[in-house]
Amino acid sequence: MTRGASLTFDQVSKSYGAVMALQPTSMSVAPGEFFALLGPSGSGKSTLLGTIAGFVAPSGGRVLVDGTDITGMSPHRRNIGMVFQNYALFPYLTVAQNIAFPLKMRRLPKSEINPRVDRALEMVRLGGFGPRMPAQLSGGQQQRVALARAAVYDPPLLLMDEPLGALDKNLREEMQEELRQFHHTVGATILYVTHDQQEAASMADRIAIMNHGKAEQIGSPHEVYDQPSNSFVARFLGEANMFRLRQVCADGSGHMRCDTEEALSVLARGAASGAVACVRPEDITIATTPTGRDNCFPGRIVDLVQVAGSVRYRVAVTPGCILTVRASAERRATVLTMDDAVHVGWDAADMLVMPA
Amino acid sequence: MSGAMTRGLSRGGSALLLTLLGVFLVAPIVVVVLMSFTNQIYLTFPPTGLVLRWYFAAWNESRWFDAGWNSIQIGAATAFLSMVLGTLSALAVTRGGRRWTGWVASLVIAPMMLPHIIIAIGLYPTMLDLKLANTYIAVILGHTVVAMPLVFTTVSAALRGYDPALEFAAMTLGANGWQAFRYVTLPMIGSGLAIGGIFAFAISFDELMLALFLASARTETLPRLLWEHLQQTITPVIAAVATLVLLFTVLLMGAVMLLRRSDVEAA
Repeated sequence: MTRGASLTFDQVSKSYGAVMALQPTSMSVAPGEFFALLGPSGSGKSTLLGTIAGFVAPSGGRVLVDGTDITGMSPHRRNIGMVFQNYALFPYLTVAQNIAFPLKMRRLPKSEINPRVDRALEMVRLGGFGPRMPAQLSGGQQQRVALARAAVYDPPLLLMDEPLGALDKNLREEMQEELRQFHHTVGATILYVTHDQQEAASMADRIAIMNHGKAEQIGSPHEVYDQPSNSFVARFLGEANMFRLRQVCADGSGHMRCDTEEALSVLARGAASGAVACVRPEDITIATTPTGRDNCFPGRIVDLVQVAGSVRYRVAVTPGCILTVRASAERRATVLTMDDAVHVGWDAADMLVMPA
Repeated sequence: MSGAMTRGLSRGGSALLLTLLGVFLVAPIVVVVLMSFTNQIYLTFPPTGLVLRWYFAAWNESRWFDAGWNSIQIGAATAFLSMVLGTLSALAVTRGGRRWTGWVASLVIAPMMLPHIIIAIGLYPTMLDLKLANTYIAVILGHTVVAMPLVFTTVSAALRGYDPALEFAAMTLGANGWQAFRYVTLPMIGSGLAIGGIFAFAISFDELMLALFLASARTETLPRLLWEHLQQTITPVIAAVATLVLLFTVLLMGAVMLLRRSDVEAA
């Protein structure tokens, strides 16, 4: 097992002419950590990854691996493993030759290459697949070969650029589990780029949420979900009902009474005018009778979708305000249908208040 | 007019077009090949008898051999030079920066469109100034100007045909620039490069205009010697040599087709 490397970005930035692809960004990844860069396309996450791999020369700042400045180093000297979205397997080489490629570049003797290739194949559960050509394998198998190839020389840092992006949904979930297993086995630090929040949340120790070329928030999946630092983060990670707060005053019970732009009056904690409050769909109770929570509104179901294990309702509380409510499967016992008059409610403590 | 009738007419029309094309493309070839076997001492069609006399005549004249050997040497050198320069420019245009690539691509392709006579008129005084006139180098350089665009085109297509991440992957795996080219780019563009090289050779092997301006008696190519013979003594030897050239070209095109097929199977 390899010891993972630490990774530090020190004010790394990248501009293409007048376009700032990456604003000066600083962050650190701990040895052995599974760290995800999550963001929409064009948010700068791939640019940041490119500065580590050596494909993108930063316009400013330094990239440090285990304290060593690698900013100007050419890619082939960095000893970093990388897995690409479309696998990037060499189509004219067999699976075994693909995995042997980095060992050959390192001029290892043949007697050492073969056993290491076999071990790498075993690790990704593809023992015996060595003589096959990449085109003869399924997408999932090809990505496992790419993993083996990137890990066979024991790099202390592995970069993954949307490695599951080309796979279909079921296989993707299966591979997530496999990747976590893989991370435990190899022990390397993993930097994982994705635009899929579910993928990032289920695998990573920590997530950096990227937007417009900068990191909006860095934290564990729980932290960024439960304490989003702004409305972009709240919306990007999971679903959120957002309220823009206009007028705020203390109501004497420790809560703040807020008028929202949606013409609702809601109770929240620590609110200020101009801020944004959000409530997660699963924190809202839906019932046919008033819910008795701090915030309670009558409404009408305008849409409902069965999702695995839960039901997702859209409830109109005012003409301009439709809330998303997620009720767990047991709630399905109370049969609610389209156009039903219902009551929704949540507590002031469920309101996450953040700057807009 | 009913749809069926229109279809019938258009089908009849395309059949006619195909026949005409076939006649115009194939007929001259058939005429030349048949004339080469004539038993007369001048070019006749249709031949009154079929003999190999003119092939033996060509065989026994060393000028044809010398010219053939010159053509092969010049063709091989042209192909090699075109492959190197064509690959380099294709790499620059498809993998390089974005600003000048459109212009560079147009410039590289231009000689393919220009009449050879114009290139010849431009190159002739240049070669005189460089004291290269009447040398192999002059002919090879001239032919490379018109042959390189073909390599550029086939290699560019090959480069666009695969994910550049392959080269990035090679580099992260420890390959330096040269190794990434040698172990990834070259295998990926291999058949495109070979096809371009064969085209370049064929262009050089068949080229007359530049050879007229840039070659001399010592560097005489086969098309040039054929041209001279046509002007002086029209004997069926010309048809015999032309048929051999044709056969050689057909073999080259056969090689191209084999390469294309193996490429399709690999993909």
